[in-house]
Amino acid sequence: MSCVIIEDLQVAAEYTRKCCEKSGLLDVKDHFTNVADALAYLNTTTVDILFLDVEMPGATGFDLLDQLGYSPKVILTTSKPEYAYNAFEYHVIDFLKKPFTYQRFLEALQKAAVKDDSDSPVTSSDKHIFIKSDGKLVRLNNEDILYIESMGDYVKFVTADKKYITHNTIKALEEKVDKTCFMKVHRSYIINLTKIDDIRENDLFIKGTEIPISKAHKQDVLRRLNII
Amino acid sequence: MSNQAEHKTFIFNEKIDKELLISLYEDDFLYMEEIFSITLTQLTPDIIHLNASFEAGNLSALQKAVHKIKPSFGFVGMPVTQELCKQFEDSCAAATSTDQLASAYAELCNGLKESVAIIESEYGKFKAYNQS
Repeated sequence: MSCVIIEDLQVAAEYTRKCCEKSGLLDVKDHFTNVADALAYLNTTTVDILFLDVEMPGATGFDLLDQLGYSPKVILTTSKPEYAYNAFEYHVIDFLKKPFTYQRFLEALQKAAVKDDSDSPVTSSDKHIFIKSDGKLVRLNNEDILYIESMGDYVKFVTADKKYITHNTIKALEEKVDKTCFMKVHRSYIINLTKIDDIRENDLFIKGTEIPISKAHKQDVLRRLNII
Repeated sequence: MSNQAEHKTFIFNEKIDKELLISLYEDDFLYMEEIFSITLTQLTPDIIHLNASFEAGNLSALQKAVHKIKPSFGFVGMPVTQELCKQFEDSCAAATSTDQLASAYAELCNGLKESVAIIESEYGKFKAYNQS
């Protein structure tokens, strides 16, 4: 499971990171010390779990939850038990009072896993990203994206009816997109695996567009397809 | 000549809750050294900010500053100092002006000063222990 730590107290952040690593279950994507930076990241990247402090400079963890475009599992980390009621209101998975033991941390993870099992299966239609385009954040559902093409320091997100150009690189996006449906097939292309119409030699076709598959990626592409 | 294996023993300061530290870090003294180092590094600017908030008479900033400092002491096995910070945070919430907090603030400062000195001393001991 992927996670981020949003915590302004460095010692608490480092301790949480160590707990995540020790569990072997979590991939810590990043750590933020304030809500604004965390939101900027989370609006373009989907993660499974947030370890979220409440009182931070500028805005609170609850402000972040109010503004977030999706609902990851949230484990609050705070030293103020008074927030327990708010935690309940925001449907957080668990509430860890700092400092918490590794055992207590594991219990919170188990609760997250139980909730995961009880949730409806997540389909690609439930997932989305936000990209900056034309001075605004635009929501793109994963299932609507056909492929992403490099344009130097920019990339083009191609959907069936529109193209969006944004400042980014294929290399950076490769780490951020949902790997269950997206895959890099060439240094200039990330494609939505569910949109491939056919593959011929070293090219694949999506809605009439020919996209090269590099030698380095071809075997991986074939492995990901349901070939019978 | 003794054949007994040499066992290193770390003697914690009596103000440190050894059981709490062990519950957090087991017997990983290198990790404890790292935690104490991070805590000292962060406490310095945080306490300066706390003092500045009090001097400025900014009650809201003072409450936030002590709230941020509070859990640091838990991570270094000093729940008594953490509780002292909590009491001061509660006092901030009940007060209407920093003037009402002068004696509580003085008590807090004394507690912080003593605690930071202990953390510094323990950090030095951890370093020596881990290098031996």
